[in-house]
Amino acid sequence: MRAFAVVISGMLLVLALLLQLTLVGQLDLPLGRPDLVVITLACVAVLQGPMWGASFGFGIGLLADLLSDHTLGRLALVLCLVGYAAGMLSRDVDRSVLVPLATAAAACGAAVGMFALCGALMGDPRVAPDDVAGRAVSMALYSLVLTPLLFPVIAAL
Amino acid sequence: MRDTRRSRLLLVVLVAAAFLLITLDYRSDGGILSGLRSGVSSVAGRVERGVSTITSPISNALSSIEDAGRDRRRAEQLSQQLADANQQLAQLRDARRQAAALSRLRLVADKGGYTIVPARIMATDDQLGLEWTVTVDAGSDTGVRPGMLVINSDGLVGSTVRVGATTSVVRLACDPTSHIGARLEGSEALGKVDGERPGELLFTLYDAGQRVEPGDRLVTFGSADYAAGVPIGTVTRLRDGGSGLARLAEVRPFVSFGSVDLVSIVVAKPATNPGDRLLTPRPVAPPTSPPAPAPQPLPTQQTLPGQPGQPTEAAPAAKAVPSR
Repeated sequence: MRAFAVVISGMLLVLALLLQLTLVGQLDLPLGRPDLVVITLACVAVLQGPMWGASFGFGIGLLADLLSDHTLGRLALVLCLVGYAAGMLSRDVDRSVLVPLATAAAACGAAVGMFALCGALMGDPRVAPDDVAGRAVSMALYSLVLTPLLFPVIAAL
Repeated sequence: MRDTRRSRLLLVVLVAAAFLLITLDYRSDGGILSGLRSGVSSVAGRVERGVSTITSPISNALSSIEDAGRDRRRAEQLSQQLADANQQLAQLRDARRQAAALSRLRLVADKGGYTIVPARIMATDDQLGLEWTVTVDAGSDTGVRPGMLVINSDGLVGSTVRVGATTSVVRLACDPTSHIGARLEGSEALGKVDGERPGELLFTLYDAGQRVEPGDRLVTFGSADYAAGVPIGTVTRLRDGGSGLARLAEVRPFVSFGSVDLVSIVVAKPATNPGDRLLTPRPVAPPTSPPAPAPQPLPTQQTLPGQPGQPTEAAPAAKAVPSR
């Protein structure tokens, strides 16, 4: 993988995180909110493979952890696994346009679920099971809308 | 790129690192990790502020789109409520003002022993500025007849000239065709008050032997239809042409004819003449006030027709008598 693509992917992820925190996080949308970081990570991982997916997931997760107030490493763990899993599908990416779509949707659902499970194991009082299921579904649905817009851009870079 | 062994190794390392971080952060409060976190937060905070100045118009626009409908409905609802409240407030204020005016009227009527019918001025028929009549919303249904005095809490307003079933036309005392019998306060000096212009009446003394002075106050004299004792006004100036034997005097009325709203029509007089009771007590003038309210052998309605000078005052009264 070229260094240029690594730098661009990293910058894209950081930009996605900033936009998520400043713009998307303040929207009051029906059902829930999309997560730009997970969608971008899924796209990057599906293009670059499991190794980079896990690395980028860990890196951006750690940064997001540092900017939040939950236990450090939670998002790093979750996004690392999500990036790795999404990267495993990279050999199928040329087969169908539905692959990145399904990957992003599954990544969103899995990220929410694992993050909540992680929180539940550590006794985070903010985790409520019914809320988590609704958010996982809505985030997956939003990713179906946003991925067709983001994936071609990321793939072109 | 698809070297699964390497990537698996990397994954294990990364997951282990994440668990290490979680454990470290979970076990310890503060230390290096929290310092790192606050450092990153402060750097990111600046970046975030910069980004959010760019994105906040977008997010505001997006949220205003979804809030617009709700806000508009709310705004309409609120402005409707405000209009209703303002209307209620105005009605309440009007009702309170009317209640106060009515209670003052009641007080005056009780003081004089008059039987009154309250009425409201509906229209001012100021045609060409020559005629000073108003229409009030009380008529023969409530016992009003032509030639009755119309008063408000300040004093004389005028007299009824034409009466319908539910409305009456009142000629104001300032109308040049209005002639009302009057008496000087505290004496039996009789005369008539003619309208001259709004804010000024003209008093004519019948008996040249009597004296009228500026500051004298006038009340109605009373007749078959007119109630006696209604305050009219204060003498302001004599018109004597320097002879000193004045029979004409200018009178400033107690009532401001321009701002009359609630009036009452005196439909029945008291059995006894109220005398000067309705005039407000003078602040300084102790010698003149005692004789005023005392038992006065004043002309009552029986003696009126025989009074000298009555013919001049009979103009409105004569109209009234046949209608009875």
